[in-house]
Amino acid sequence: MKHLVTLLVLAMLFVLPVVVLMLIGLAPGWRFPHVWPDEFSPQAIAYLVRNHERILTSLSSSLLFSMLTVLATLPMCLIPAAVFARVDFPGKALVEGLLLTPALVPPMTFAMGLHYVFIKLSLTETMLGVVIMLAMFSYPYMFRALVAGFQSMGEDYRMCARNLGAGPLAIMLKVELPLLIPAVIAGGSVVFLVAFSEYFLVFLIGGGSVDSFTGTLFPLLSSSNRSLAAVLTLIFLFLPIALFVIMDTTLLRLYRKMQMI
Amino acid sequence: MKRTLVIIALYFTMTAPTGLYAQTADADLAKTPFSRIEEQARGSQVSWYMFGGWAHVNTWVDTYVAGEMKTRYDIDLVRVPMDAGVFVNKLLNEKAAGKKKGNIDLLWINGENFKNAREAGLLFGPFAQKLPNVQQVVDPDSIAFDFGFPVDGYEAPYGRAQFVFEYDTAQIAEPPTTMAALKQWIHANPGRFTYPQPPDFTGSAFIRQVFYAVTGGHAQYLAGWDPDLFARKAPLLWQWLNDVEPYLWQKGRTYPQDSAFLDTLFSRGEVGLGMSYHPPHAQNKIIEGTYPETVRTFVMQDGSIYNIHFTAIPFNSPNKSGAMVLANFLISVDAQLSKYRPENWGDFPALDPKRLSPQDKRRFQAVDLGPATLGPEQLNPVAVPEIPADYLEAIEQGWRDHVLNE
Repeated sequence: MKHLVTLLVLAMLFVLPVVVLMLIGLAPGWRFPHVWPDEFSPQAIAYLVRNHERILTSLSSSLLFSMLTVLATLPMCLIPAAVFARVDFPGKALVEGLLLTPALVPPMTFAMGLHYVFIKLSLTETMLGVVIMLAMFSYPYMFRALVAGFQSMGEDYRMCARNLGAGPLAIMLKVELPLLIPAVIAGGSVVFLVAFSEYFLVFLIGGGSVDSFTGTLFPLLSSSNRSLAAVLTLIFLFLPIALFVIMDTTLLRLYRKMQMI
Repeated sequence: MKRTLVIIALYFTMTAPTGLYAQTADADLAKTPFSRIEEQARGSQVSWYMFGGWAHVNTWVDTYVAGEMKTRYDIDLVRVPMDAGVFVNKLLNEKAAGKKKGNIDLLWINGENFKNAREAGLLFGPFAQKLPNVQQVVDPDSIAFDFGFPVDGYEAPYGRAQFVFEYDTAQIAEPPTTMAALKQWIHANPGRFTYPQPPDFTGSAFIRQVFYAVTGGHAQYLAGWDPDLFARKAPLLWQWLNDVEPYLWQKGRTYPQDSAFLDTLFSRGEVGLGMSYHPPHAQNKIIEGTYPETVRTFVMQDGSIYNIHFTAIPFNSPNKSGAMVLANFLISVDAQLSKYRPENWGDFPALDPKRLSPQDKRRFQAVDLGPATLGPEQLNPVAVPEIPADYLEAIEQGWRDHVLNE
């Protein structure tokens, strides 16, 4: 019974808005006195079908650069996070604060100066440039998660492995990384979401040559075509969820195989 | 040390000639006859950066324009959705960093974005007079100024917009058709009117229309920026806007952030009057299913602002010939006619009807604009030009100080 209430509240919070979005997607003319739309129209779906090529290209491009950003932030943060979790040094809090600034500064400010530098380095309008920019902007989320991961792992496993004769590389690859997977997933998910939903940075550095789903979605959101905006938002919502489900099931299988649970 | 010098020398030999070449190529382009330019552009790719928020306009560009460009000129058209403010910023940075080969070929631009781009030297030109269709079917006087800023051939015309109001005939019998009547209407119908907050394009234009109406017409402002005149006249505008403020939607404590928000309020029936800078807007929304079929359009009899929107070519466009071919096609009779049909877009032509052949004229007259769009015979008599951009900025700033925060 207690669970029922929780489930109801969760459904109200998360399922109801999705249902409303679906209805708006199918009924552009749904307005106030009507509790249920009195007329449905397939115009948003028709736009989707007509433009499926463009939407799919932009989706896959967004997926690609978001994944690459996650892959880039992991090696960036691994060693600094290990150091921050294990070593105390004067000024640590200050350095840690500085390392977290990219997540706090608005992307606009962050990007305008860097755009100039990126042009000079010929990194604009390339996938590589977009990934570097997004990684620079979103690594703090990976960093925080890894620091927490290293802290909760403690020193014992590493000691143990070293006592058994493992070198630093073997410790990292065979002992620590597998134990860090939950932290990597947590950090990686946030980095993925930040990269996937970033509009301005991708637009500025990609210059329109690197496709992104947000680049297609945002202009349509700021128009008053609510149906189309609703349908595209649903795709935007569905994709990361699908990705997490896939990741979760593969991980579970992996853990079972490794007999960790 | 020696190696560094060699590298530096190499670098300069590699970059300098390309820079020179680009300049001479631009100068050559001005002398090249248009038929040669069309030949050069054949088989190339043109990237057109434009506002991407209208699904029907996107569809028109992706299907009709892209298709015609392919069959007529073998040009691949790439539409990139980007707001004008963003691409002007991008070009500013590219100019500062000395990037000679960009990735934008054509821009959809006008107003203060054009002024900013032109003043910063971001545009290639003049090129408009070179386009055969501009020579043949456009009245040069109609494209001499863009928001009071001289165009000088740095933009080619693309379409014409005019400010209209919208109402639902099922709710309102007689809409107010002067600003004075509108004020009375707002007082009589508290909470049923609002306008988007400047700098929103539509809200800002609405305020300019009030400005014209309450200060004695547009003619006095067209000569250019006059701070004394503005200081004398502006209080009348603030007075009008503050008079109606307590009777607006949400008692004027807040304003819709953009015109899309106002559209939504209007489509839900929360406010009684809508507005748009695009005459076919209501018809588009009806076709789309967002507005009820009973919505109709009207104009203010004391002046309805119009403007011409344009296309322009950035200084570092990698394919200026292709961009010129596209700009020329967009102002052709065929493209303007296709654009004029409400099922495609409904945007008004920027052509001069007097320069059209009788046959083409009939083709335009035969277009059925739909019941919700006013025809040229209603729009033209009340059309007044846009105000110079300096006034626009002063009004937007003044609105924040005197109306929003007052």
